[in-house]
Amino acid sequence: MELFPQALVSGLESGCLYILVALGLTLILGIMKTVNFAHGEFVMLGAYFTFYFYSGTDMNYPVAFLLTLVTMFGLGFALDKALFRPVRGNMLAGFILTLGISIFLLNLGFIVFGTKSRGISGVFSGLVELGSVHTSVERIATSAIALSLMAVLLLIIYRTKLGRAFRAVAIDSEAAQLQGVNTSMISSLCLAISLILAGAAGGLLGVVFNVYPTMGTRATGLAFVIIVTGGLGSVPGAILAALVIGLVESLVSTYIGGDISWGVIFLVALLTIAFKPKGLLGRN
Amino acid sequence: MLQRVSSKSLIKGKQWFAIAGIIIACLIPLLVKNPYQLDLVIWIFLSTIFATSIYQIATVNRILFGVSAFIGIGSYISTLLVMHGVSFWGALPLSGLASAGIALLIGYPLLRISGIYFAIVTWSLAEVLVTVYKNAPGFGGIQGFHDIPGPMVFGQEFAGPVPYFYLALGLMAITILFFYRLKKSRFGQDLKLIGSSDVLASALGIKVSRYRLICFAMACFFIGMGGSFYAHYLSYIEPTRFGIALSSQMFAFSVIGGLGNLWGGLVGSTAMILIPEGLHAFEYIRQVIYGAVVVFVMVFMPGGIISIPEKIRLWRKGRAQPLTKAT
Repeated sequence: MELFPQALVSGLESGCLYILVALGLTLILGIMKTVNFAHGEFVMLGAYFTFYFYSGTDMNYPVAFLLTLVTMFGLGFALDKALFRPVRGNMLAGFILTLGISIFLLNLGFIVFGTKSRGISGVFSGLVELGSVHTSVERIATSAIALSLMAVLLLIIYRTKLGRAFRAVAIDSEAAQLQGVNTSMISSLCLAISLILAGAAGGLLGVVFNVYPTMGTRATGLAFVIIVTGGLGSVPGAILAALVIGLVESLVSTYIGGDISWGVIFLVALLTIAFKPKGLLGRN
Repeated sequence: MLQRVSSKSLIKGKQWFAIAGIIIACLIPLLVKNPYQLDLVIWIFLSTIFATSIYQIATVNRILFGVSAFIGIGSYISTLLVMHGVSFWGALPLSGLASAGIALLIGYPLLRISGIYFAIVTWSLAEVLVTVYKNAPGFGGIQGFHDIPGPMVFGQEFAGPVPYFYLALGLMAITILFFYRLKKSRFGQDLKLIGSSDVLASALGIKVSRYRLICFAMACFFIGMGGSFYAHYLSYIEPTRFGIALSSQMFAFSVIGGLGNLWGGLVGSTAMILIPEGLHAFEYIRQVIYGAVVVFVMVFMPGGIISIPEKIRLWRKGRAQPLTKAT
């Protein structure tokens, strides 16, 4: 029983990072109706950008992190103009296109970054003890950053004019266009924000775990499991499901074994689709 | 009337193409002596079996993204059967049947789900199965199985790639021929109708879910047989082979060839295996090129490579029309 609170805390800490991983994917799916299979590769890119900005130069971590977000924003904007535009609205074509992008980036990652696993180290130090639960400053800080980015995103979506345009395009792109929403600008911004979230997730995951080219494959899997469990395109659903999946993963790793947890979270996704296809927070 | 009778009794033009294609394919081992190149052709045939089955399931509007789930089922069942003394020639159809049986069981609840959800559900299935192979007793654990014996003919095990070549060619020909005949049959026409509209098909009295389930199981039968071949040809299997990488590769083949066409799988597999090969690049660079080709095809020809002749025809027609109007 002593393990339980520990598993709970580390599950929630992972869950906070998973929120960022999943939010970007659910955003682009909900608003642009594009299934971004390369999402995890953008997480990987974000992690490497942060790693090189932080370790390659003498920038401090916050600056490196912000610079990563700016780079990802630019990349997202450019990618939308160059590649995502022709497949917008066509889920299948978007799926294959991003599948190609994912294969491209993953292997480019092997070539450019090498297969060696790296870490963004020495950013936060110190351990924290809360009763019987042990955790680190690193994990608490990254969770806090993740949650505050999430809060910023929620504010943008639900409290600004831009957010209203996002929601309008999500409901009906054509009607939104007729009301004067610049849908092509919205779509570019949407991918850019999605990539910022992916980059942020990468920058934070790199601090807690390692940075390696195949980390994106794992992130893509996680992100899809989460958004399916939460309901495709649903922002609150993705947040709830990220925490649930983080907990499930942590509990399974603690009580059964780490190598089973990957299969178990996919089983969660499978059962969710089979019995509640609209996800945890979707209306059936 | 005369024409109809003759077209029924004689082999039609298109079928001549197919027969000529098979004869030419049969001659490949005489021309290609290099075992490495022959191995590539065997992979093309095997990938075609998987990609064509994905096409078949796509005709009823379901995207089998996690094809590696059924390849894995075929591979593992065939390996386990052979290890328990069953001959390869018995294990081959049995693994197809097992794959089809599992498809029937899980297809019943899951085929109700459509669109991207079905794609993700099959992907999840593949990941769950990989975890089962790794951890459940009796599946060889993380190492999988090694030294899987090859097929035996007259007491002799297959030696070298040539017998495998003919076996793969035969399996591929049977798969394509089966789906070709299916397409021309009444049942195939009903499936096509289901593909265009569930509501319309059920209004015409077609039992939509049952037909879709049968179509799914048929395709999984061929995928399972392909999986059996895969295990015995490689001579070893390990759980991680049946993950997302294999699925996405086969799926990309079928879409790049053209998901709307029976021959798309063959075209896609051939192009995507030969193009990176022809560039003589290192593994990672080859994969980068492969990814770039996928992106290129999706942006410039969403109908796949097989849509090129049609596009050229339309383009020429489009150019010709204003001229005729002017004169």
